[in-house]
Amino acid sequence: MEILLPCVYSFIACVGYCFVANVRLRKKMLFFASLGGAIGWGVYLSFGYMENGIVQSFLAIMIVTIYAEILSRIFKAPATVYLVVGIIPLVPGGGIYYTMEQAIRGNTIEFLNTGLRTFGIAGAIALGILFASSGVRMIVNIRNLSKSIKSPNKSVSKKT
Amino acid sequence: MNYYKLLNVITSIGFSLISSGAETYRVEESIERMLSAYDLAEVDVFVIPNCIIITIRLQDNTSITKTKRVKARTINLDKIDLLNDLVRSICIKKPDIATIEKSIENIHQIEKKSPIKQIIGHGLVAFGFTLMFGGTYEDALCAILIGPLIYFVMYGAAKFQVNSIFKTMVASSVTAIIALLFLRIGLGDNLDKIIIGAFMNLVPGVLMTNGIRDIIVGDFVSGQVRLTEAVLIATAMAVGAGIVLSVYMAI
Repeated sequence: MEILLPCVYSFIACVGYCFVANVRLRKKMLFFASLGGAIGWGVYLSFGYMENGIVQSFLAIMIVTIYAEILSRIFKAPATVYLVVGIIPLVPGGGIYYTMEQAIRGNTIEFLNTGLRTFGIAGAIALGILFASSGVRMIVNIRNLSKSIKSPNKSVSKKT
Repeated sequence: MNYYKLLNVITSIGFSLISSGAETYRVEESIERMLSAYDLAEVDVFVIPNCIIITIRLQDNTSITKTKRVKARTINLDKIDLLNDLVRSICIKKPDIATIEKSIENIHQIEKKSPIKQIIGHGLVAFGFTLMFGGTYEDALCAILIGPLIYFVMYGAAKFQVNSIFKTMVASSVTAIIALLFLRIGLGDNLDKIIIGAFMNLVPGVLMTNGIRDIIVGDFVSGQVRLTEAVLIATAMAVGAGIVLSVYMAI
């Protein structure tokens, strides 16, 4: 219940974001894109025992990226659509606020601490997307290569 | 086949793609594949987030170049998907120019953003994230009222062609002011949760995602442009709300 309820909230928020980014019902995009956001936050919370936002964000964004890449191949839609919506709950909006709050309170040490943690989360998100996307790309390329070796007459070069 | 017209049409597809928030490599690859379908000797495409340059060489060795400057970019994910489908069909079917023009016109017609949906969307984002970050229902109620206000500020600023950093700063100040007001009249419990929830409307998620995806495929210039903008926008968010809060604390 502690994890389920925030996931539902995350889903609602992502539906809102889908409206903002003009994602539509076609190809069931609205539902699956929002579900990505809920999954991401669910993963983040289920690794909550680590008490390390950076690692949690990294793992969550890896799952979201793999989810987005798989869906983009099922529905023949750009992976960005799912990724952009799925990433939103993990972007450190809270970190930005708390860093600013410490800055105007004049707590230099706390300001640096929170700021670095926020920066770390942003970096973890970047690395997570980088790892997962590159991994998926590699697997797809290997599969295409082995296909073209098996049937050299047909040129297999399809990217999404 | 009139290659001047073809180049114009294909450029306009690329322009629509990049101005609705597609990654650089997607735009480059789409333009290159569409043009390659039309029996040209050579196709060269260079795209960065604010400019498109295309050069084609015809079979008789004459070259044509077209440059298109992209000034404003928004987010319209559904349009990217529709244009992506159009690109696929052009590569396979090689339709004539009039048909392509008609389908582009069609996509522009479908993809007009409706303000009501935007307002509801901004409200829902603020509502959902306030609850998600642990705010109470009362906080969420405040946030759902602030969300649409952010939309009006951003939309109004876009009308006057204000740059995105200043726009974000103003929107974030307005968020902080209204949140403080709500707290003053007794609505809402946690200032931070309300502001963070509303903040998620301004967060540069698309810029970050696309910037990283650009870097993955090797478009370092584009990636850098986007990531720099993302960092500046995040700073602008902090500064905007920070000014208001520090003034409030001083009083």
